[in-house]
Amino acid sequence: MSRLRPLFWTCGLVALLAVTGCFETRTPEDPNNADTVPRKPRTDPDSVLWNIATCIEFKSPTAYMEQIGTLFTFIPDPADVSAFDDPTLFNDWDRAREEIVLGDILTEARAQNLTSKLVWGTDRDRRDFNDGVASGQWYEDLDYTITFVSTLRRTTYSGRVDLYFVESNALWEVYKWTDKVDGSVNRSSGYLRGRQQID
Amino acid sequence: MSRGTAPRRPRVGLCRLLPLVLALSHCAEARAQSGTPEPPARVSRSPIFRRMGILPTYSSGVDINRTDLGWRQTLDIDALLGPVRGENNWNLTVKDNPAQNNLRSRNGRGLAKLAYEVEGGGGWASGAQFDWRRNFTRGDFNRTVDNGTNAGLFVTSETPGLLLRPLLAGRDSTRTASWIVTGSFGATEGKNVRQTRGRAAGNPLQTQDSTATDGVTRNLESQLHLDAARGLTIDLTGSLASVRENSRTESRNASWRNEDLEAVPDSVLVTDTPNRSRSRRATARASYRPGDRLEFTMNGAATRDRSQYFSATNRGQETKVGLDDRLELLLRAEPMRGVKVSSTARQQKTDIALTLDPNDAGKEETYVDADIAFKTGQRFGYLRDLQIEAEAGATDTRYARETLADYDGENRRVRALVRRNIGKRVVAAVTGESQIDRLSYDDKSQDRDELRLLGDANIGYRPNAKADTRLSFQFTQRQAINIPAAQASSNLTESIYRIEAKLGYKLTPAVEISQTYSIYAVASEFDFNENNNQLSRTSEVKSRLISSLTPKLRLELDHDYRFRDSGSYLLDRTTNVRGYGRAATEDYQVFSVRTYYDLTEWFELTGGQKFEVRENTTLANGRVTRTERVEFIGGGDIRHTLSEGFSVDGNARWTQTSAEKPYWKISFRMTRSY
Repeated sequence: MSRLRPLFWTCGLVALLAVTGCFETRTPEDPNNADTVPRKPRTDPDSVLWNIATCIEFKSPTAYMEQIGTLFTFIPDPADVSAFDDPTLFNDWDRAREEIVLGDILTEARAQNLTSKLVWGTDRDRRDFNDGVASGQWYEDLDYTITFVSTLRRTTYSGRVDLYFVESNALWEVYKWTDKVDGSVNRSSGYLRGRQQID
Repeated sequence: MSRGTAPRRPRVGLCRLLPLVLALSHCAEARAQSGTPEPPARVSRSPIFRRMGILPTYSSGVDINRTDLGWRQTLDIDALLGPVRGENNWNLTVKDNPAQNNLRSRNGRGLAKLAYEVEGGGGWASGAQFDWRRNFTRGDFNRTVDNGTNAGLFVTSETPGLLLRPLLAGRDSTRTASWIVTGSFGATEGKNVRQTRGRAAGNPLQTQDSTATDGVTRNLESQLHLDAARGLTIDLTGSLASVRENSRTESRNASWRNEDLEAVPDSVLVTDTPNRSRSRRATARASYRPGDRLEFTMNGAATRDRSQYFSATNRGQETKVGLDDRLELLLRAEPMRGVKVSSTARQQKTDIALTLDPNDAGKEETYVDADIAFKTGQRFGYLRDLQIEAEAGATDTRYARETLADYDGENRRVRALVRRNIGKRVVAAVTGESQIDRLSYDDKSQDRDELRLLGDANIGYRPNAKADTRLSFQFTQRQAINIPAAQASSNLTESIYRIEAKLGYKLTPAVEISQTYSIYAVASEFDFNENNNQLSRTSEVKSRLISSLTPKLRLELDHDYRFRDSGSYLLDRTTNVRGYGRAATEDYQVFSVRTYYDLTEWFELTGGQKFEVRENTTLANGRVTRTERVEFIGGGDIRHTLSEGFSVDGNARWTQTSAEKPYWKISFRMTRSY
């Protein structure tokens, strides 16, 4: 038996060392890090549409703002403007305002562990435009549906948008979002922006 | 992962066969331990039953909980008529609950075994077994029936052991060897009905996947036990079982028409399938004990199952092929006086392959665990007399799935406890524990780590025989970490700090008081959602008095006061310090009085009253929510032996509370052996 003692102690020590070095969790991926969001190169407006949908799904404001141009403007549907007490709520809606509002909405979706999804309509009519300030391409009356889902609730926003894109340094980006209600029971993205939170 | 090939012949579940196999093996084992039939452990007191050689035992019980009524009765009859031994067990359970959709349930089961031992026949025995099952449940919206009957004949022989004993054990009379072989053949029949009804008025019952089966069962089992050498014991068992069944499954939708539902045409699905099931099992156990301080044990088992049944999900005859292999090694030793070591290592592989269902699954697990316990001796100086227990373990599991991503599960754990008596009045103990579970998916889509840390230190001090004090501190941390960015926003680290002091004092031999003070804080930190961080702080005082007012009367008083506040626990990015913003408070008090009176040695009356108040305040708007609850519970406990073999045991409680309607809770059992 005495010859076995060193063996017992060695086995015990090895087992202890083997397990004590393992009590650390792995480093998680940062959900705020845009690098974790899959995106296509913005070589055409369709790729930007795909990227926007992916950014909403990954709830990443940083990646979303990469798709938004420096001259971005948002124009709401008049029905959405009248839904709020403040008639100036949507005035001068630029890129900085979009960054704050979308940031709040997507952060709330993350905080409440909501599954978010944006689906573009398949009927896409893309044409060229030139409004005197910029020129590029646009989709007319593009359908969209945005959903936020948890085990307890489901909130859907839908509408149509005239979406304008311009090319900057060979990369396409969103130039203007003209929002329209679609007549359904769902609120539009303009209402979501105005509320600055998910219903 | 491995995937079973489609079987050539269909099969059915083995659930009906297994009880028979187990019962037969039990019977054979009992036979093996004795060359002659054993009389029942007790003999009937009734001269008539004694003359008949039977020992009946009857028990009956009732359970009432609010509207739920249950009644159960059981009759056991053991019989010994010369070389014939019989065992009977019959039970009936009735349940009714009008508040649960008018539930009515009737379950009956009867088991009868008869065994005949051939005297002087070298351990030959044969017999029959009958298993009868009738289950019926009906409510407003469903009706289920589960009936089954199994009958079989068996033959058991110890002759192989007797013949091979000289070969297995030699001439050494101290060694024992036995080999028992049991064969059985039986018939099985079953009927299963499932019917449901829509909640709209007037809907008829629909029949869903109701099955009728009949078939035959066959089983062969072998048990070999051998004391091979000094300290070495070997047990080998093996079994072969098969079931051939003809199964008819019927599904019928009746048509109806009402305001809520459209008309549904009649549809009937009838499936006739010849099911064939087979099970092969082998187990081996070897134990080697060379001395009192060392023992090795090895357990091995291999099981192969193929079963066929009607799959409600896939609407057809399913074939399931199962595999389960395991090997386990255990070591227990005392390498030095006072030092105890034990270790377990296990490797297990399971696999389930289904023909229709796309949910094949497999698992391969490696488990290692080791622990040690010892007390330090004089050579450790000041650290002498420490009682130390340490345990470390690791489990690695590979999960393979047909349609979903495969993944690896890792578990690592370590635990240590150090305890020491400091003088005669003080005991100190420190415990540390850590455990991590790690899931790693092949596609990394759901990688996740869970970590748990525990530190506990407590010291107990008994200044004299009347007083007892204890002070403890505990820290617990739990981390739930999702690795992919898509799920990482819910990552949570929860830290709990708790400090507690307890004082107990015996005022007189009949009166004890105690008070416990505790403060604890729970911090919930979301790594990627700072806005959700929460902190709650709780202070609690528990007081207790236990008094024996008279030898027959006891009194218990309890009071618990708790105050808790909670709110956000946010990080100030300018100072990098977390700040606490109190948002809500809770006051909670409960006071209870309970009395117990021993009316007789076997009957105790009890009565108690409880007052409970909870007040929640939201500081932002000053809203206060107050809930009060008053409760009275009274009743009695009975535990009495009326005569030898005749006993009753039960309790009844009447509860009157401000939270719901008054109700009874009664549990009563009566058992009588004749």
